[in-house]
Amino acid sequence: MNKSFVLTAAIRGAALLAAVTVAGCGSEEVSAALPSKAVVGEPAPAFTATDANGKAISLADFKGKPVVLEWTNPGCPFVRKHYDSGNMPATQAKALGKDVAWVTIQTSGDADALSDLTSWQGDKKSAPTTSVIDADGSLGRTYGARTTPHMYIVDAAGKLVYAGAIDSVPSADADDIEGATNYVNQALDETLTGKPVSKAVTEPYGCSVKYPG
Amino acid sequence: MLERFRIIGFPMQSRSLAFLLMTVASGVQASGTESAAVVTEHTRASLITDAQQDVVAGGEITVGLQLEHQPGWHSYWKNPGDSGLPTTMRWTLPTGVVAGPIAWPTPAQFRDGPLLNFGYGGAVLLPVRITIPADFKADVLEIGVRARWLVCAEICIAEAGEFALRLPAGKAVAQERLPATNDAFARTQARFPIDLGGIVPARVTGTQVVFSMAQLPEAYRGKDLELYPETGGVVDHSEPVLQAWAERSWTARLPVSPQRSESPEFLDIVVKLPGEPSGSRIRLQIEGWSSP
Repeated sequence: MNKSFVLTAAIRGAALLAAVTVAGCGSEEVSAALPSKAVVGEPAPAFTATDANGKAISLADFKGKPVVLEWTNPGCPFVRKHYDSGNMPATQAKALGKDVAWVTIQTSGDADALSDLTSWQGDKKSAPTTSVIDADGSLGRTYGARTTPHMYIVDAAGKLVYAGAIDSVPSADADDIEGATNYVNQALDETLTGKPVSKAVTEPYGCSVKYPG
Repeated sequence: MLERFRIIGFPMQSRSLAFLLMTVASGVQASGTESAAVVTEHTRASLITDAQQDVVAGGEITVGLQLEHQPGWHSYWKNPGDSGLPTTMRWTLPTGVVAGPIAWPTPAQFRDGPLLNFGYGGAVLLPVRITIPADFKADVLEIGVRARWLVCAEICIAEAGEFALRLPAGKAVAQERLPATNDAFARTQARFPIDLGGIVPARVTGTQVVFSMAQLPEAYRGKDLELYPETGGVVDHSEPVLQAWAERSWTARLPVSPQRSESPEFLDIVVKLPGEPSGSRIRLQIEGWSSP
């Protein structure tokens, strides 16, 4: 169920050197230059990843359904707040139940990151559509990922419609979840019923994304 | 309790860790100028009072959460920057006694790869003004606070503590207290940003907020300054701020975050020379935000 893809780290060799391409829509002429940054209201930057078996996946594979991108790090207390409480797995299950794709991403240069992530997800009963290790940080930089968690929603047409926090109460205390507004649930409900997302950008909170290098 | 502190000895840096751990383990309730401390592997935290001030009806006193970080660890400012979390305090006070907001000292920058944070390493005191009502009649002012703070180095730990102070009220007790806490408040006074007053007009131009001003201190002239926006969700903190001097006039171009969540009319920014403990606060009035 839990397909896992590695962006670059698993085989740090020549084969995967060009495995990740992050391209901004309409910026093909810049080719190898810096990709365009993710901006809410504009097409989400495309990305292509290769799994450990060499099979390519891309954001475009999910076209026609909304996609949630979730930056995570199992060692971060803010992530643990939302996993130990069951809040994030429940948010995932709710989204998948509405035919939304969910991509969990960890930016990490650690060679063991993928196996650590997937075994931890198993413990927490987390079953995203797929999980990805952003080994060189390029995906994180393109999306402007700053915190774990940091959440993004791409709508069925490929437009970025949400960027920000999981919910409205910035804290590391699970007791605060009950009184918080879950921005991902709210934005998915809105986008799935054809409404504009009322809170399209919020300030994310959490640990720093661990960029390699 | 005061005597005991004297025996242990000030200044604070010389107090032994063994004693501090004992304090926590035994749950000893300190009275006077410092609460019992909470000591973790990364932080020593306590609530202290400014010994210069007496507890009288209709008056006010200043207390403060003192955080002493282990080397390499830091906690966060009111705007933590790209990640992190500001320290918070939830007060338990007698009826009519009111706690104000945290008076945040000037922070420092902490760079983490492509990300930038604002906070405090070493020791920091976060002062809060407590206002006592005119009809306050108790002999003792009991102050309780639950503080939460995030300390980060390579990793982050969410820490919290409950602190209590019992302060004799209605009489002059300042002379009985100890000098070290006074020093902490005096040192912090020197770390508050100085409000330059007035409003600096700023305009959104493309992906930048551009403004010029001539009110900055003489010592800043010609230098590259650090900028600390007091509100998050506006500025791309980790991007360099393009800045230029022309005689006394300083022009800065703040990079707007590609994922901006706020469009404030007014934005307070602390500006300082790198390495200086204190800065200056300026208030921008920003025109030209595009929707939303």
